[in-house]
Amino acid sequence: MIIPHPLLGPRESTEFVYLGDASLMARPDWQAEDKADAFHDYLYLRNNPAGEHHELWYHEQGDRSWLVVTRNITTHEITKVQLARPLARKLNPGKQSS
Amino acid sequence: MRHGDLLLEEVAQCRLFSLSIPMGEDQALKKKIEQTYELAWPQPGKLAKSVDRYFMAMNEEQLFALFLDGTTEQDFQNQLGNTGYITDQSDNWCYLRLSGPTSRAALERICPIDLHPDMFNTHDVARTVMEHCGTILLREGGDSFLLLSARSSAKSFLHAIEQSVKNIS
Amino acid sequence: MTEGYRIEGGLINRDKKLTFSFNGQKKYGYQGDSLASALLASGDTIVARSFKYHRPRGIFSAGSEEPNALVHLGRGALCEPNTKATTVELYDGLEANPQNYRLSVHFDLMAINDFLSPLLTAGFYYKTFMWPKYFWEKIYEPIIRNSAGMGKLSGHSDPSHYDKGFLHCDLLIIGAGPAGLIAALEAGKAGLRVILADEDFLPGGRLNSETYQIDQKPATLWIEETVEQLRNMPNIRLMTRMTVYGCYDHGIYGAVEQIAPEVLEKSKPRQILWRIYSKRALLCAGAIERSIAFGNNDRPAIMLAGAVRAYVNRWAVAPGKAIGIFTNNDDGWQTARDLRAKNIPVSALIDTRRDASDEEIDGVEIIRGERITDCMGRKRLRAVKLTNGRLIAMDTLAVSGGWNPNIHLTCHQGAKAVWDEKISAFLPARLAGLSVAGSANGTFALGDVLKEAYQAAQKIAKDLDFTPRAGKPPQANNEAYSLSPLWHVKESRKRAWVDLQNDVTYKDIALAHQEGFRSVEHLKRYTTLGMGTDQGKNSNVIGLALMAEQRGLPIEKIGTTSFRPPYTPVSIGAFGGRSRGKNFRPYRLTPSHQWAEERNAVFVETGQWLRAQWFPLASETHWRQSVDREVTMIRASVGICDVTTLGKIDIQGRDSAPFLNRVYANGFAKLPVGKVRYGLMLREDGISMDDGTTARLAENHFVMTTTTANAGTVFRHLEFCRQCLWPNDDVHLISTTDGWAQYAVAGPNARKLLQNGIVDKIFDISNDAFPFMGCANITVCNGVLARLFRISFSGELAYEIAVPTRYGNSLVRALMEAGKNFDVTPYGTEALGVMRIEKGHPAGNELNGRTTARHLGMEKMVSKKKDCIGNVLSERPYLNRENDYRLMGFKPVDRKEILSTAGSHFIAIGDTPNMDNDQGWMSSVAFSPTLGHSIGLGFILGGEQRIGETVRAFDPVHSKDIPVEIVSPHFIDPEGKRMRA
Repeated sequence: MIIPHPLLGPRESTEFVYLGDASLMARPDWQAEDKADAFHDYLYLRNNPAGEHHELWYHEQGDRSWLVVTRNITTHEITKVQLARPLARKLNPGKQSS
Repeated sequence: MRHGDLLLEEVAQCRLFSLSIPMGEDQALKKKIEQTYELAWPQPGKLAKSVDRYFMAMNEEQLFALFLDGTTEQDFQNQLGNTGYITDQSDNWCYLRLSGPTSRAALERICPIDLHPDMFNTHDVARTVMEHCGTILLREGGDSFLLLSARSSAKSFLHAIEQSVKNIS
Repeated sequence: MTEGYRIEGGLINRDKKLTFSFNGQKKYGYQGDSLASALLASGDTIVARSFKYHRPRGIFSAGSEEPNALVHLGRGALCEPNTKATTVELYDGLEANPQNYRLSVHFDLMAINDFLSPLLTAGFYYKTFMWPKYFWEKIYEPIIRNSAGMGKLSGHSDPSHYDKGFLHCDLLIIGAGPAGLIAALEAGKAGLRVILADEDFLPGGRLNSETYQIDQKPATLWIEETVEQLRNMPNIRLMTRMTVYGCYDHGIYGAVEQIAPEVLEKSKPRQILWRIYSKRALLCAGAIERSIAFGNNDRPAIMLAGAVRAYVNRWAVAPGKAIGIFTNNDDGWQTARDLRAKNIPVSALIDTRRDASDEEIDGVEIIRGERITDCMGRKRLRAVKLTNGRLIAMDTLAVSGGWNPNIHLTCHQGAKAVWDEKISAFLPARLAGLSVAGSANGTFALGDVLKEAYQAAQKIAKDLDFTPRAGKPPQANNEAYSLSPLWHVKESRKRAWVDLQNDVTYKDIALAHQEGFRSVEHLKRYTTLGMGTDQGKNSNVIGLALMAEQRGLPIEKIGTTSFRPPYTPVSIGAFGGRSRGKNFRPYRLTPSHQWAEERNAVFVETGQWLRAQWFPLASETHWRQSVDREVTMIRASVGICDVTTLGKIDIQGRDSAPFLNRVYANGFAKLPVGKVRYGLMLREDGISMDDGTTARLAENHFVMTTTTANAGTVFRHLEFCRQCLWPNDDVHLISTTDGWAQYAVAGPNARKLLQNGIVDKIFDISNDAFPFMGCANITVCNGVLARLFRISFSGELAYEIAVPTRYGNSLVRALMEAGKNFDVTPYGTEALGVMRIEKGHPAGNELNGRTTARHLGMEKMVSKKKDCIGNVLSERPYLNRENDYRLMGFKPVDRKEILSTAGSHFIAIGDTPNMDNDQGWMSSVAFSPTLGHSIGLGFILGGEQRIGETVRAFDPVHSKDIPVEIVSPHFIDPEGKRMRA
């Protein structure tokens, strides 16, 4: 496969490492009431549609960026590739550091 | 090593530093670089260069500064002050130069990147993998390529390039 | 010289005569010959025996679809089995041999199978060799493997060289026949970067085998001119002997290039496996002729009609001296005309169509509306019998059942072919990146082929924003092509072959249907139709049509089996490429590798790294002697170990401390500058992932070490945390693993050694000034920048000292020199392992992806007052149950017993050793020279509460059953006095 990197252009998928669904970016609050259930669902439960998935790919043999790749798993068509960090910032607008 | 019209040599005097932008302080660092070295901070995948330095943007927040003039980490640090995070990378890498009319044909055997001059010219830099060795690659000019790979696997990397040179001759 | 079948003309170079051998006999051919054409020229009829029945077989086709003429090419270790004689380019000194026979290809003992054929029908093996069960492996399978089958592997390592490579283009054109050539020319003129690939060594495709005209000149001349033009265009790369074998996602194609035999040197690769990245591709792979099933249609010298034309026109070989033609379409007539044009006698042209053209061909008897029911001649065709009972003598039969577009590559990504009634064949599905033109698209007439390919190239050029030049395609006549499909001559009483390679006959397909195998995929598996090296290139469509007939359904309702890569077989060597032996994968060396070699170190692979395992002295004959000595010397005085391979990550930024505090289970927020801390990293599921030490060099600057094995995964994980979980942190990571050489200096004399000219005098490393878990930037050996860490894996007073890699070699030699007075001992990973087991430190065996901090006895380290990876899920009840596994120490009750294998299971004394009674496992063992007996670390239910209890360390794999006592995992200096000294 070819992953069109948003900064570097088309790159061979062998330069990348796949992690899993992009929902892994939405890590639950460790202090929430239902934290045990929330973390369980976060780690183990995934939608698995026969169609578009949002996937996390790491450009290990490239710029070391994490990407969110929108890919149809039935055709391998890649419709969108975004840098993960700006998306993560939208999920976590507040400053995290304590 | 000279093989036919190809020359493969080690570039021993290279000094390489990674330079990262402190979050939110892009402008200060980029301005400092411009003032100090008269080089504009390049886009990711591109490089800015003068005679004996290449500033390669590896991603949005990190630059690899390659000096061929003996600049040390301390010099670099002194020149930039506290505007960026510097890590000496000089000894992490080995530095090989492959030049000659058939250099592209040799690299075609191991390099997945399109090195056609229209696609990869003297302002491009790529980080990729060749024969399972992570590699940073840039075109110094014409048919001369500079190749950086991990120092610990330099023997394997050298073998990969030498084998390519032999296989096409 | 026997060259009785060679005729005038052809595209061979008669000035370059070549010698070769087949079946041990010396033969001759010319440059431009294939092995098949040279064999036919020498009058070789039987070149192989069939797969199952061992029937004599001859050359059937002229291309890569060949089902019969498979040979052993080359000899000894170089022998390549199942090579198609039809695609082998003849070279001087070529050596080939027939395969799949006993005694002789002309008298094959196994031909007995042919007389047993009523028993050997579809599914025979499944039905017959079922009982008794153990007979299968011992008796049936070896016999079947020996009698059925194809070529034999040499059994030697392949001495040939292979290479790989990467190509990039705007347009990949597959097939350099008329369509491919004109498309390449037009695309090239429009400015596209084009790769034109063809499996043949001669560009031109079918045109080389026909007698067509293009722009009023012979097509072969047009090819020459076009190829010349293409070769002069820098943006076009014409690659012959190059088979595009697979079509993959996003415009990636796999291809294998054969190096021309005349330029191949022994030290050079004989094949190159190319990965082609294309923006668009155009398939111009032409069409493959199919046969018709009729009685004994597998006799030697029954060939495809197009192949007969190819041998006559391209290779100047008459395949016989009296050639009959059997056809259901107009193309068969061209064969008769071409043969007559060369004055080759034609016995008869038998057209199945009563209403076939009323054209007459000079010197050819034309029989309309008849079919062949049987063929005579076991070793070579002698005569055929028609439906009307008439016998016609002939020594060769050219068969044409129509043409199948070569759509293989269009199906590699799952697209389904579409049945076309007009040509009675499958057409390619419409695909986004892959266009199809010419015969591969079902467009058979030459004029139309050229026009279609020309237009396809222009359209692709426009799609890619190039401007095609105005002009028009070259002109050629459209030869007639109509057919009335005929798959099987029903009047045949004799076996009628559908798949020659796998010996599948009409009866097998009928039987499969009768037994309920109705899906085409089942048909294939049950009968083996379409398997083997040709993958049914001739036979599939006939097989499907016959299945459709059996089921009373139209062919489009039956569907077709999937085509998968590779298009033709690719040798495993090509996929392996250069990755063989020492260069199987990159290896990593530390800067003191040579120093270790000088000291006769025995190396071990740890990931890609080569690490010194121990350093034997000349007097030592067993590794244990070396390792015991190393351990003893370190505990008594001082030793040096290369720990360069540990992963090192440079961490900078204002938020580095809180970041580390979240990726490690234990606290890092308050680590003072100048201090090192042990850190345990968990996965989000609460299982331990890695451990190491992290040093704070400055307020916003840390250096993390990881285990050697996990350096890459930890870095990736940290980047994930940084970019995806805490994206607002000012944290920056970069690997410095290769940038620093690092040495452990361990033992009671470690400080004295370092003070002996290593650490520069201005740095005070006394216990007060530089206590346990201290770290500092220092200089060594008069000014060399270094980092010093006071950490201990061995449990002794110890330091790790790091210098830039370029100084590693010098530093280790300086350390040895400085330690001379203390009998400094270099030690390897084995001694390192022994000492960490003695000390009770977990390592890879303990951090095995199944163990929690609690299992490791480190649950107190997991801070509950902060957010960190793995914190929440480590609290799950099951991971916190009572009497869980705990890391403990083990000693053999009989101290003389040697614990030699990790992996033993703990079983209570008196219990039957089984999984229900399993109480844990031994993870690491060593002989402790310090204690004088074996020790082990392991996980056992109940842990500390069972100290003093005896259990069995049971290892059925190695037949060991040793009573062991449960003890603390800290065998030596549990208070840690030594390392704080």
